[in-house]
Amino acid sequence: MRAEARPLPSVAGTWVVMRRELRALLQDRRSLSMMVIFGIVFPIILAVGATGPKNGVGYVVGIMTEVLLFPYIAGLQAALTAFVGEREHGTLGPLLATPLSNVSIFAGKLLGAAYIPSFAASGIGLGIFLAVIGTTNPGPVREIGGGAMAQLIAIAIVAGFAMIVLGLLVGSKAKSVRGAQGVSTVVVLPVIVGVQVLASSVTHRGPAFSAAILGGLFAAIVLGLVFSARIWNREEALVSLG
Amino acid sequence: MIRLDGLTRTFGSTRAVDGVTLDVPDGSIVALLGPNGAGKTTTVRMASGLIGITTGRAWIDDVDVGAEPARARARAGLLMGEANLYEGMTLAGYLSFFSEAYGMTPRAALARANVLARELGLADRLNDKIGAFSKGMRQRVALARALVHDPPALFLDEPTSGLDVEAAIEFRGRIKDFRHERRSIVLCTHILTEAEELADQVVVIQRGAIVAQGTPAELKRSARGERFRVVLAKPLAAYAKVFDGLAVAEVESNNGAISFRTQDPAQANPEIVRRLVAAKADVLALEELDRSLEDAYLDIVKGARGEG
Repeated sequence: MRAEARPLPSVAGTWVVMRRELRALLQDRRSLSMMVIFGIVFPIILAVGATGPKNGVGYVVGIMTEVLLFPYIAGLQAALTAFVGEREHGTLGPLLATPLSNVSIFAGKLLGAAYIPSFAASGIGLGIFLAVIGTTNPGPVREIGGGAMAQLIAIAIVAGFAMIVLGLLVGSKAKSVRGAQGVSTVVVLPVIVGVQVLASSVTHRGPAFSAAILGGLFAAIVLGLVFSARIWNREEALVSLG
Repeated sequence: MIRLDGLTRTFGSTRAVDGVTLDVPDGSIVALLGPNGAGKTTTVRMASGLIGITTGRAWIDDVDVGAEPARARARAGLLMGEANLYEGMTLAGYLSFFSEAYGMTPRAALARANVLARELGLADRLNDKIGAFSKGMRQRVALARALVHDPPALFLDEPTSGLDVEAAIEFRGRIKDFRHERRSIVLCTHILTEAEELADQVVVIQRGAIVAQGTPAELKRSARGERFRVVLAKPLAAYAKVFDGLAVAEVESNNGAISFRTQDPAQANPEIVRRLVAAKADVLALEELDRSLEDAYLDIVKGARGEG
């Protein structure tokens, strides 16, 4: 009598898929180099560029949101590779044949390929940026203050998460990663410009304004997740595999 | 044991699979044959719990596939055409990942990867990246992936397509081994000699429905009857008269060899020989013509299309 394989609970399944995606990302030179550029090189360059005495609060806020947000562009590219790329190369089929739930596969890929690496790169980038500018031009950072700084960081991070899931949603019908990357720019550019514009108002409009922005972004994430999960369920993905 | 009972699947207004019913007992191989787009892959996907069933039911052992698709997938091993492997992973990492996806602990998964690699002759490549493997090795890796959870049911969709002759023979040998391991196997193939060699039962699907089913030998004896040839010492000009009133068809004469088809050889053949002797023809031989599964298959699909 054979021992029966048991389907994993969704959280355990998500953990298995997420670990594989993280390993795959670390082995993918292109994705890894984008994370390093956005998470380390880019913040250093921007921080050094923002050290001039005439660069005030508005300038530093704008640069800081870019530092926080740009790693999520790399995250979106990694997400498109993990979803559209796997469909393009046929490797999604064997994964769908396992007893892993749709939720495990979707969440594991999204977390492992995109959210966790982007969040980590964004955090490292912010740390480097603040360390450099804190020693060379600390005035604007002090002027922004802890509360507004926290709001800015929260908005940029949540906007990054929203950008990834919305980019994945609009790119999901593309046949290739390259096509999906092209289509997803319709999400990337408005999010970056929008966050820049909104962030400049956060410092003088207060927490209620930030809460409203965050509410809108959370709603966008939930909608994006719901619709993406519908597209990337087993049945739809297999039909699109042919 | 795989059981399908009236399995039907529609996509919009298209009926991709229409009432497929079949049993695959433990230790047996059923070959699904049919033209591209006939519904073989959709049948396999439904039977293994990958996609939903519109109507009908399927079981893998005691697991109701429609009610518990995840449990069904845990009891099914799938090899769908191309190997489709993660090129950047090592063999050990790849097999461990899929073992974990089937619920094993990382330690057990690594142990299982080692066992499978040894069984499939890949033990010395465990730490190599899959991207460097040959086509035959990749297909073995895909097979190992399908076996990581030791499934009682195997669904093999064109497993030898694209393999060289030697690799295909080796692969077919492994499929025979699975029969001895008491697995139930559904084999989709376009290679009819492969179906003939491996399958206990052959099922022909056309436009989503089963149009013929039986052992390879049964299918070769098609509904249109077996084909025979009578060899004469010299051609007989009035040969057609010999067959008058008999239940024979497709009578053709070629240089003293007359071939015909009959559904009732026990009745027709002695009478044909008697009439030939009466017509002063010297009968050298009466033989049954070998009919390949390919001939039978073509008859069946053309018949189902109304071309027969």
